[in-house]
Amino acid sequence: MSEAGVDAARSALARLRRWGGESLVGSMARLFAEGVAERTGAMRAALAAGERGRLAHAAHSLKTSCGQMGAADAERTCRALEASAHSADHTALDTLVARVEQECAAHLAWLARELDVPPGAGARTG
Amino acid sequence: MAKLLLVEDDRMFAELIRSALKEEGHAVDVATEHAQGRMLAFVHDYDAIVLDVHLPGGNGLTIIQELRRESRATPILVLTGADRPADVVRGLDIGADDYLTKPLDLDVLKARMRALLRRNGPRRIESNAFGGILMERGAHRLLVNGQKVQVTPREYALLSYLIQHAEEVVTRTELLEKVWELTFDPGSNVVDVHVARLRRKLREHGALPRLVTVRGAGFTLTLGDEGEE
Repeated sequence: MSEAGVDAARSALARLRRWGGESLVGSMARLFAEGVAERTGAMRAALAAGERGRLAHAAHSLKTSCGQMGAADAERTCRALEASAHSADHTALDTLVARVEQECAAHLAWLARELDVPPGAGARTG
Repeated sequence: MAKLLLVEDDRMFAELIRSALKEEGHAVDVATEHAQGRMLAFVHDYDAIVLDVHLPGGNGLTIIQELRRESRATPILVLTGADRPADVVRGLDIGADDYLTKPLDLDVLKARMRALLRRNGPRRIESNAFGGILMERGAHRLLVNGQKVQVTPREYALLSYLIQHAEEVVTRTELLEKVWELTFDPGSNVVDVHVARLRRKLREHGALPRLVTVRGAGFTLTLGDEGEE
């Protein structure tokens, strides 16, 4: 994760803690991890089927979740993927999806360390 | 305490919003898709609705359109992405009362809900009434001449729709779409069976309005003498 990415992630966690304590942080981290798995899976399926609309929708949904959790790097890549879903070629889209997967995995690994949960709990590798 | 409906398919956002509103002391029903959200919005009388635009099964804005077309004044707060101003404009133009963009600030969400509820006041007592039939929406209760009448949720939804269109002819197709949420004829007599049951219950309790069949057209809830039961 970039330094700016870590700052954004820490700010997001601090907000969640202020709103609902460790309980809210824990449930949001778990649901975010589930959402990442679901949405990156949807992206892969949409890409394989050539369904660019579905790809854009999955990127949009994951983008807002990443924004909420301070996953700034992944949010930025999701935005790029959403913007180019209808125009870019398959190779370029495949590269972007792979980057989303890697950046989400990096954020989930960071979250696991911050929250002191077992590595890979809810995380998905790229 | 208010009774709220949240229509949001993203589990993370649904939990975030639900927990914030519960912390404010509200009761929150959650729907995760368009059809479920639409059904709940029409059957129950919520104090306010928080509604995501992009839902599985349809656009949340159509729920707003339909509610307003049926003269339902439930306060509605629309959720949308920060980069989708067109959704905000359209939502407000067709009848939403306020909006909030994602990522969410829960303090802002809570403040906007407080403002929405303050502007619109408690709505739980709101009811539909027609000729001695009283439907208390918040309590989901049917009274005929002051007596409580047991009805199924579907019968309740059917009667609610008929009262909203009292003295009008309502077709089977319309009822299948609005009450059963079917856009095709299932080939069964489900509407007629439910109408017959409702008619019997109203008659047993001495209801003044009659639920009549208008041959070749549909049904009418009427205080008049015409039509056959």
